Amino acid sequence: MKPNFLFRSAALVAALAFAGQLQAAGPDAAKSAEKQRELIAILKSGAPPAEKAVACKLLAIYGTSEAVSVLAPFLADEHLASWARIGLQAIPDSAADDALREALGKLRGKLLIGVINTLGVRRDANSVGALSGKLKDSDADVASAAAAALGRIGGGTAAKTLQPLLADAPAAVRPAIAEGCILCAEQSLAEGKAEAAAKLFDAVRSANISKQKTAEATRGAILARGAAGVPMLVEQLRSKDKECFSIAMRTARDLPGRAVTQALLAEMDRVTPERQSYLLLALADRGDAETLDVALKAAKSAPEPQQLIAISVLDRLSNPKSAPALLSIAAGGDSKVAMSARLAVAKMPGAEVEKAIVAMLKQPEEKARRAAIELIAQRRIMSAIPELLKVAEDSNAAVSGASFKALGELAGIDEVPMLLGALMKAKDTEPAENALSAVCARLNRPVSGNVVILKAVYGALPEGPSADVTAKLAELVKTSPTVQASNKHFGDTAGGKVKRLRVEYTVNGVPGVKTARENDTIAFTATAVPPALVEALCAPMAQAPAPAKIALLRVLRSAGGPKALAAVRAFSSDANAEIKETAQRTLCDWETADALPDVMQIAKTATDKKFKVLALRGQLRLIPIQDASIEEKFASLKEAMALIERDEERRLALAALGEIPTAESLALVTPYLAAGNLKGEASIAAVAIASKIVGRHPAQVAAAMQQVTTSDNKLAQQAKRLLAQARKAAPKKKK
Amino acid sequence: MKMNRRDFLKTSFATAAASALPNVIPASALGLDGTVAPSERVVLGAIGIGGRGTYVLGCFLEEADVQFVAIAEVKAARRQAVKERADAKYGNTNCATYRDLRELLARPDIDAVLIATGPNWHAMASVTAAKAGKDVYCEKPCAKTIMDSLSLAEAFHRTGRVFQAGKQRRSLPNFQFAVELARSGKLGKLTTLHAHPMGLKAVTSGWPEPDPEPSKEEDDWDLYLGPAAWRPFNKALFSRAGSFEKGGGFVGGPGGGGCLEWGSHCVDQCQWANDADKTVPVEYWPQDGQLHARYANGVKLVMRNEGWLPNIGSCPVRFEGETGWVETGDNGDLYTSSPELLAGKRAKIGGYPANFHVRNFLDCVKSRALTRANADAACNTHIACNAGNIALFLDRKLAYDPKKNEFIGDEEANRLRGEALREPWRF
Repeated sequence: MKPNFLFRSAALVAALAFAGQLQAAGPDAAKSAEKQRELIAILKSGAPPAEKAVACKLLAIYGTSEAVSVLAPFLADEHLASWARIGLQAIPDSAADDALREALGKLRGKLLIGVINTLGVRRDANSVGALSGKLKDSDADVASAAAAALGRIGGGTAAKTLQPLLADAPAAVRPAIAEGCILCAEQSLAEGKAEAAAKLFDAVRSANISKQKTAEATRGAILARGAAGVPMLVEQLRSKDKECFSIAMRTARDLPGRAVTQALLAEMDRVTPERQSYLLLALADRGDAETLDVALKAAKSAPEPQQLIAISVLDRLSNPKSAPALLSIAAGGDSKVAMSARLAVAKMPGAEVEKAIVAMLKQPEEKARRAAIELIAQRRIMSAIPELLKVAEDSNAAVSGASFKALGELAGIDEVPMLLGALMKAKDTEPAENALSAVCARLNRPVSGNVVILKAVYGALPEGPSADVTAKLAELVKTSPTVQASNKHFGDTAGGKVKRLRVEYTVNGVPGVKTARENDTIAFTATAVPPALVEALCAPMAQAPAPAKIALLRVLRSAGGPKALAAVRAFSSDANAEIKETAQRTLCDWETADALPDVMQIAKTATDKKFKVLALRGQLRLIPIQDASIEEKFASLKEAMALIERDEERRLALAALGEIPTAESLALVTPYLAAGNLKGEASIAAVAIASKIVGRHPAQVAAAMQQVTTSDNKLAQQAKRLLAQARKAAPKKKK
Repeated sequence: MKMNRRDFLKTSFATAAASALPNVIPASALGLDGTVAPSERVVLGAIGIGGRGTYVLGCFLEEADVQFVAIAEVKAARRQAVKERADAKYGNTNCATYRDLRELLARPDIDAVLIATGPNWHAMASVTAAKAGKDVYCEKPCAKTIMDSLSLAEAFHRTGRVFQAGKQRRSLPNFQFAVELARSGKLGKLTTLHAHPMGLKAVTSGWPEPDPEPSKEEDDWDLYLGPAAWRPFNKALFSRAGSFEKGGGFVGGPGGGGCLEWGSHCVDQCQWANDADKTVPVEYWPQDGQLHARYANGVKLVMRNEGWLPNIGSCPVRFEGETGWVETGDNGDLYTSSPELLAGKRAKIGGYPANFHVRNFLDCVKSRALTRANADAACNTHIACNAGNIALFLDRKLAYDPKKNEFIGDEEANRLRGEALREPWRF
C-alpha cells in the first residue's frame, strides 16, 4: 500500500495552501495569525494524530506564545512529542522556554531527553540550574543529554558545573561531560575569553576520556593559545599516534599566523618524504606564500608519489614562476610525473609561460620538443605556428609528425599556404596531408541548404508504435530548416508514450541521420568548409609534384563541395597512372551525390575490376541520397544492377531498392527471394516495399510475400500480415 | 591491447584526474607483490547499504588498500546481503553485522565508514561517526536543513575527521574541465550558472497509513526513523529510504528532496565554478517554474529542469560568462560556445562512476588533506539548496546573510532553517 500523505481536514489543506500564496517580501503577519488560529483549533480538536502532527510542524512557522500552551501538553505524548518539539523549538517567544523547562520536571526517559536537547538548541540560559540537576540523573542518557545541552548554552556557570565532573562522572556519562566542556570552551573562545577557554580545554585533555575527545580538546587548546599554541601543535605533528597527527593536520589548517607556517616549514626537514607531502598540502590549504618554493623543491627532487603531490599543488597554485621547473619535468616523456606536469602547465596563465613553451621547441632533446609541441596545441598558441612549421621539417620523424599534428589542430585558412608549401617539399607527404585534412574537418561549419528528407519516423522508437512521417516532415522543411519533434506536427503516434523522431536526410547532397526526443528541435544543416580554403587547396594543384598532387586529391575529398569535386574530376583521366587512380578512387569515395555521374562513368568504363567494384559500390551508396524522383532512382539502380557481377554488390542494390516503394522495384527484387545467397536481403527489401504499396498493388504484394522465406520471426510475421492484407485488398473474383 | 573497465578507469584517472588534490597511493603502502601492508590499510565499515550504497561499496572494495569489516543496517536482509558479498570477497566469515550504527562505530579498529542510508540519516550518522573518531564518505544529500548542514561542518572541524560528500562529479574530468573554464576566466566574467535540480516541488512530509510493524531484528522502524519525527510503520515508506525526508520537513517529502535532489550535485558544481565553496547565494526566488538565486558577486544561479542540450545525460550544468559558455552532463561530453575552449580537454568518462571520488577520499584518509567535496564545501552547497527549498515552500523572494547564516527580514524563513530532532538524537 502506498503511504497516504494527504491531509484530511480542510483547515490543514488551507494552511498548506497559504504557504503557496505569492508574497512580495517577508511574511504577512495577519495571515500568519489566522493560520495559527486554524492550527491551534486542529490541536484542540479531536482530529486524528496525523493531522495534529502536521499542525505541530506548521506552528514552527506560524506559532507565537499563543501556540505554546497548546503544543506543550503533547511533550508527554509518545507519538506526538517529536512533532510538538518541532513547533516549540522554532517559536522564538520565551514562553516556549518556560514550557520546556516546566516539562523537565514531569518527563522521564527519551521524552525528557528530547526536551533537554531542545533547551540546549535554544540556548536557554534560565535552564542551566535545572539541567545541572539532571547531570546526576540515574539514567546515563538523561545525564549525558544535560551535559551536552549545558555545553551548548555555555557560560561560566555551565562550565563550572561541568568541569569537576570530568573526573567524578560515571564512565557512561564522561564522554558527554567532555563534549559539554569542549562546547563551553569553544563558546568562551568565540567570545574572546581565550584564557578561560584554554584552561577548560586543558582540563578535558587531562581527563580519562577517549583519544578522540582528547584530540578535540587538544585542537581547542591550541586554537585558544594562538601563536603560543604552536609548540603544542608541533608536539602533535611529531606524535606517532595517528589521532594526534590527524588533529594536528586539521588544526594546522584552522590556526592562522606566521608562527604556524614557520613551524610547518621547520617540520619539513625532520619528517619522511611522505609526511613532507602531507605538510605541503596543509601549507597549500593555508595559502601560505612559502608553499610555492616548498612545492617546487619537492616537484624536482622528491620520490615519485610525493613528486606527484607537489605537482598537484603547483597545479592548484597556477603560479607562472613554477613554469620553468614544470616544463623541465614535462619534458620527461610519457611518465606519470611528466604527464601531470604537462597538465599543470597546459592551463597555467601568463604570456611568459607561453614564451617558455615556444622556446622549448629549440631544445635538442626529442622529448622536450615533443612536450613543447603538445603544450602549444593544448594552449592553442597561435603565434607559435611559424615555429611549428620549422619544426615540421625536423629530421626526427616523431618530432616532425607531432608538429604536423599540432598544425592540423591549430592552423586556419591563413596558414594553409604555409602547410601546402611544407607538403610540396616533403618526402613523406602523409603528415602534411593529415594536417591539411584535419584543418578541413575542423573548419567545417554548419550551413543551410537544400534539405531532402529521405525517411522520417515518429513514435516510441525503437520498438514501440510509430508512424512514417516522411511526407509531413518534407512539407515542414520547405518553410523552416528547424522542426520540433512534437505531436502538434506528427500527431500522437504512440498513445501518450514519450516519442522520438528519427530522420534520414540530405542537405546539399550531404547525408545525415538525426534523432530527437519529443519536444526537442532538429536543425537540418549541412557542413561545408569555407570557399577560401577550397580555393587555397586547388591553387597549387597544377604545379604540384606528383606525390603532393596525390595527397591533395585526398585532402580535397575531406574539403568536399562542387569546386573540390571539379578539381578531382580534372585528374581522373590524368596521364600519370597513380594520379589518375587516386582521383578515380577519390570520386568513388565522394560523400555527396553530385559525384554520381562521375562514378557511373567509372563503373561503365573501368577496365580494372577493382575500380569497377569501387565505382559500383559508390554508385549504390549515392543513388539513394540523390535529390531525384523515385522513378529516377529506380532507373539508376536498374542500370547499376545490370553491371553487377558479385553478390556483395547485389546485396547493396537490394537494400537500396527496399527504399523505393514501387511495383517496379518489387518486381526487380522478387526473383532474388529464391536466390540462396541473397534471399535474406531480398526478403527485407520486399517486405519494406510491400508495406508501402500493398494498398495499390495487392496482387504483386501477395505474389511476392508468398515467396518470402526467412528465419527472422519478426520479418516473417510482417510478410504474413502483408499477405493477409493483400489478399483482403485484392479484387474478388466474380462467381 | 584490449582494456577492461578497471584498466580504463585507471588510465583515464592518470590523465584525467591529476589536476586537483593528489590521487596516489603512497609507494610505502604497497608491498612488493602489490598487496597492501596492514598498517596502510583503511579498515572500513558501512552504514545503510541499499541500491546506491551497493554500488559505492563496490568502488571501495575494488581498492587494494581497503579492508571491509562490518555493516550496520536496519534491514536484516540487506545486512545479510552485504555480509555475504564481503565474506565471498575475502574468503572468510568475518564481516560483522549490526542493526544499530552505534555498535559499529564503537569498534576501535574501524578507521572509516561509508554512509549510504536514506538522506534522513546522512547528517546525523556522519556527525555520530565523526564523534566516534571515524572518517566519513557520505552519500548525498548530506543534510536536510540549513542547521544540519552547519552542524555537519562544525563537527568535522572539531573532530579533525576527514569527510567526503558523495558528490562524485567533483572527481570527473568533464565537470572538472567545465569548472576550470569558469574559474580561469576563459568564459569571460561569469554571469549565469545553470543547475538541473531534478525536483522543484514543495511537498510536506506527512504521516502514512499504518501497516503491521515487523520485529526490530527483522526491520527496525525506530532506527529507520532515527532523527525524523515519529510516524507509524508503513511498508511502502520503509522501502523508500532514498526519498524519505530527503528535502527536510517541508520540501521534498515523499517525492524527493526539492532542489536538493540533484542540486546537491549540480548546485555544488555551480558553487565550485563560482569559487564559492566558502559562501552561498544571497538571494533566492521562484520564477516561471524555475528557482533563481544570486551571489554577492553578482553571478546568477538558475535551477531549471528544462531546456538542456539533447542527450547531455543526467545532472547537467551550464556556466555562462560574458564571452563564452560551457555545458556538460553525465554523458561525459563537453559543449562549448567555441571549439577553441576545448583545448586541453582530458579523457571522457561518461556515466558518473564514483571510483575516482572514493580514491580521493582514501588518499585523504592517509594524508589528512581536505577532500574534493569536504565538509565546508558540502555544507555551503546544502545551505544553498535548503535555502532554495525554503524559498520554494514560502513561494517568495528571500535574502540570506551567509556570515550570520540567517534570512534577512523574514522570520518565517528563519524558523525553517532547522528542525527539532526526535528524541534521543542530537548533534
